[in-house]
Amino acid sequence: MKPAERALGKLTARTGERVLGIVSIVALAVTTVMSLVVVPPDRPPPVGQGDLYRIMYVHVPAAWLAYLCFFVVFVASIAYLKTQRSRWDRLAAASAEIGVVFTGLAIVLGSIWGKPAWGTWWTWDPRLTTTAILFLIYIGYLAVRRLSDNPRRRGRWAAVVGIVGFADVPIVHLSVTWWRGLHQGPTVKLPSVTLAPIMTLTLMISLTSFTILYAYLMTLRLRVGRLEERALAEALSPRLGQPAAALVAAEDDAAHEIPTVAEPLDALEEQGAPRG
Amino acid sequence: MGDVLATVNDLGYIVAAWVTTAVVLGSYVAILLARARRARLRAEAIAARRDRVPRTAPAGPVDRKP
Repeated sequence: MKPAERALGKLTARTGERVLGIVSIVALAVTTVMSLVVVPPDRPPPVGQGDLYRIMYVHVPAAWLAYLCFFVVFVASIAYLKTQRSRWDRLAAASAEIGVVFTGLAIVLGSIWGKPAWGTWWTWDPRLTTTAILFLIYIGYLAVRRLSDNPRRRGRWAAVVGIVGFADVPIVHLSVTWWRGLHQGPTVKLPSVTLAPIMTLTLMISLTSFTILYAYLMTLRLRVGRLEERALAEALSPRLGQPAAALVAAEDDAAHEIPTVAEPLDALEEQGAPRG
Repeated sequence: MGDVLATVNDLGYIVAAWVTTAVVLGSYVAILLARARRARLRAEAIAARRDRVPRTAPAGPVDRKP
């Protein structure tokens, strides 16, 4: 890659990240105004939920983002096992971490909603239980990533967990249909929608805002991954006898395939050399 | 303003949900930015130390004649 192309890629990556960050803040501000001010309350209790239903505009997008994150992990894990390219592994790792944040957020927001609606912070409802299992599966995924220092072995193990763990996502989604529980059924079940048009519009705006935020978090988390890999390459470069630049590409060059440091690490392991 | 707030039922839970969302997402973004900065500084520090060593180390055997 020419220096000019690399510089342009660097500029685009950082500029794109900043633009996404600004757009996320604006979109979330619009969501907040729509959710708390513009949209009318539900019918008063006990028929409806009054204003309490407004929590839906953060709870549902958080849950949707968790599904999306783990779907990305699933696809990237398959791609990694098929191609062995480290970019897929980094993508899966980034998405899993963000997915755990959103799953945890969805559980906490559901709990805040559940206390006034059901009279309890937590109940072993099928939806809640399967979501808690989903949370634990991906905590396990992140733990597996810390088991090995070898990027190739780590990527392989994590990819298997990422693929198998995704089986819980459709179970979580369909749990409200399969089993009876306290949790309400799907709010938007195409082609029929049980919400008023303004509520549906606000929910769609909220879902879009959170998805833009996800894109921003992904660019940021991928940059962290590249920088951490570069730090590792700098530390290893004297021992491996190769310049760090040969081990890892420019830190912000998102479009560039970063060579994996797995091969030199494998060679070090075979020589019985300790890593440090 | 007070009358408006009084008509909103379960206001505390709604505020708690929004504050929780803002704190969680804001903290995560701050953690990511801090991690990025730390990794960049570490990489730069290692590179600077490595580049400095050859210049300060003696080029060959030290002449220890009296």
